[in-house]
Amino acid sequence: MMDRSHAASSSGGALTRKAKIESSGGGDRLSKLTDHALGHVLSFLPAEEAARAAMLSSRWRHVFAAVHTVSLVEPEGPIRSYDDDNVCHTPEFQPSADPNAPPSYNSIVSAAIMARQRRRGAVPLRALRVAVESYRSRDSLTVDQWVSYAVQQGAAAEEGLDLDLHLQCRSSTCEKSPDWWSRRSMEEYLATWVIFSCAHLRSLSLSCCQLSPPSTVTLPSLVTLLLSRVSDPGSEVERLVAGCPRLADLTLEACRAVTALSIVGGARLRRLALRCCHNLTAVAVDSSELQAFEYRGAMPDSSFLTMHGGSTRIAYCKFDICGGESMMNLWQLMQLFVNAKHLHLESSHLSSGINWGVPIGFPSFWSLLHLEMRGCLPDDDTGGAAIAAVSTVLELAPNLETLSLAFHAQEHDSGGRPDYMYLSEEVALEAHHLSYNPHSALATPPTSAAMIPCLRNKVREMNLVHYQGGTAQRVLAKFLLSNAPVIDRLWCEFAEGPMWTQTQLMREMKGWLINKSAETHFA
Amino acid sequence: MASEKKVVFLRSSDGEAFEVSEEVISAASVTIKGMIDEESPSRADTAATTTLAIPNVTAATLSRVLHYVNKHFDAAAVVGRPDDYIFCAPGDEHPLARFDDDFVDVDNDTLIDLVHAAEYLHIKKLFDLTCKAVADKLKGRTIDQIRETFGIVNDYTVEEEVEVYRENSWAF
Repeated sequence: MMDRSHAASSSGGALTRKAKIESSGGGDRLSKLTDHALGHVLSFLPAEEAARAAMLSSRWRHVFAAVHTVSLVEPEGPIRSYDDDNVCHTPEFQPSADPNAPPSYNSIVSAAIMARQRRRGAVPLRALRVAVESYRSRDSLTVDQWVSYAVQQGAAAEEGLDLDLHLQCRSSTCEKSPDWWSRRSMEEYLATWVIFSCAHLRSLSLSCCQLSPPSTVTLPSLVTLLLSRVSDPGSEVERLVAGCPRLADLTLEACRAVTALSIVGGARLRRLALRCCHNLTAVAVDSSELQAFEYRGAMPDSSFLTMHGGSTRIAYCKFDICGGESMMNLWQLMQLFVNAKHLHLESSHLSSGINWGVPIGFPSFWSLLHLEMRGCLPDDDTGGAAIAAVSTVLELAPNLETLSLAFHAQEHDSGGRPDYMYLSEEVALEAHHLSYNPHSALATPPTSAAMIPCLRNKVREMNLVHYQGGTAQRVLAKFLLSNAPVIDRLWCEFAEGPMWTQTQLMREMKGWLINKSAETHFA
Repeated sequence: MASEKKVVFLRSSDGEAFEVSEEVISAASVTIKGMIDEESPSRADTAATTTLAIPNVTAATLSRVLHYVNKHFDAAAVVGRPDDYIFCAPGDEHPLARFDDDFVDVDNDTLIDLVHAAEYLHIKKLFDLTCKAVADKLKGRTIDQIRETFGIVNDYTVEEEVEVYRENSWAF
């Protein structure tokens, strides 16, 4: 660097000429960037698109060697036609022996890795991200080779290596059949031990795998770990985590065999997320550095979480409760998070789910600045229960500045779909239309807003997401807006529907706003 | 402390000088930090300000870069732990996200100049931001569309084109 700058300042003449070319514009400026820059650009694209850029011009022919992040995600739907002969000509990546096997996405992944390997001077690999939808047990050696390549190629990367493997099995049995889980685990990928001693691995994400880590795990650089649908029990997860002294961010998702988890005496997590691990009943964590906690699943028992090291640093807390269970227990858990700055509460029903009495003597959330509540609020509700629910939390948050409410489409619950799958956006939108009736009378809110100091003095920003404009939602919006004189920013995203209805709802809302000069944004 | 208020001047390729806080630009640019460190023995205890020549970057680009640098690297914004794990709650939009979006919402030539400057000055965050913005302009486009957008001339012969296609056939 210093040499370059030195040379630059001493040879102004030549460089001024260069600068003139730069500023003169026209021509192909993009291709004049360095390989380093073009490789960085292409690293943000799927590997197929990055490789296809070689067709642009001779300048681009070998830029793929400068690509440091290789992302390969199998497209959904029919598998694309693929010509095996062109690619797998070295013994290293022979396709499986079955001549009748359909061409699989695996061969594309192998080809992409080969394409890097073939080019001399390829830059160190920073990330390999592979998502295969049709993994079979016979592919395990191939996957081992990908991992070995990544581990070996990433050794020289300053930034460390990110490894992301999603190996969905193509299972013949239905997920609902009783032996689905056991059958599936026979098919699933058994992680190669190379992973567990990779000194430069910085981020690891494994989905649909079996870990079975060795007795000694050595991952000194690992910061982020995500395990999704791994079939190992908690003890194996603990063994893995025990070898990660720098681990800061841990996510467990739909890990059904994990019943108890203890992360104490080793890594000090900054963030812990537990999603849909439905058999998990007890978690102990060294919380001395914990900043964020997220939970999604059934209502946990009040003894679910044990924090060692206090909870004063936890700034973000999210509870997403499936099903319409009473949230009474939540108050006991919430005591752990009274220092949160941002609280996110989600349940199937905005009113019934959170319509819980506060235990006497419950402390206030003095630090809470942003409250986010999500759930469905259907039209047949009068809005009174929702107002009570939202007010309950608002009363405990005297310094709140931002309130965000997101209205789910009706029947948003986990019934009838695998609990680890989220609604696709299309499905969510379909069930999500405006339900505005201009003639319905808005009931007077039963709760007195004078009781809510933050609304009166502090709340400056309100966000409404998927506002459908049903009676209950309008009652709630009216109650909040017409009692919050210091709001200076209102943001509202409507559900799908005719423009004129959205315009009506927008006018109505602007009418409720006390501060007429507030910045408003309607979408 | 006096050292906190130190400023340096950066002179663009077309001769315009820009003032910037030494602390801010040193935090942002590895290249300029190197230049300053190299200069510092000779100017210790002198009140004279330093002017550094940035011969690869025009005034138009340099002023944009400094706008970015002052937003992202001013003393109040420089937080974070040495191991650079920074948690940001999913609902809380990063305060500078909107600034960043607007910053790269520019024409192709301006954007490419910014990539070039970010690389030369070694400002990692800006390099990431601008390269990603270029990638967004390539994403989902056909080869012909990309050539047209950026004025790339296809200099392959037909034979070469077939060869390059075969080399990368897995990607089609």
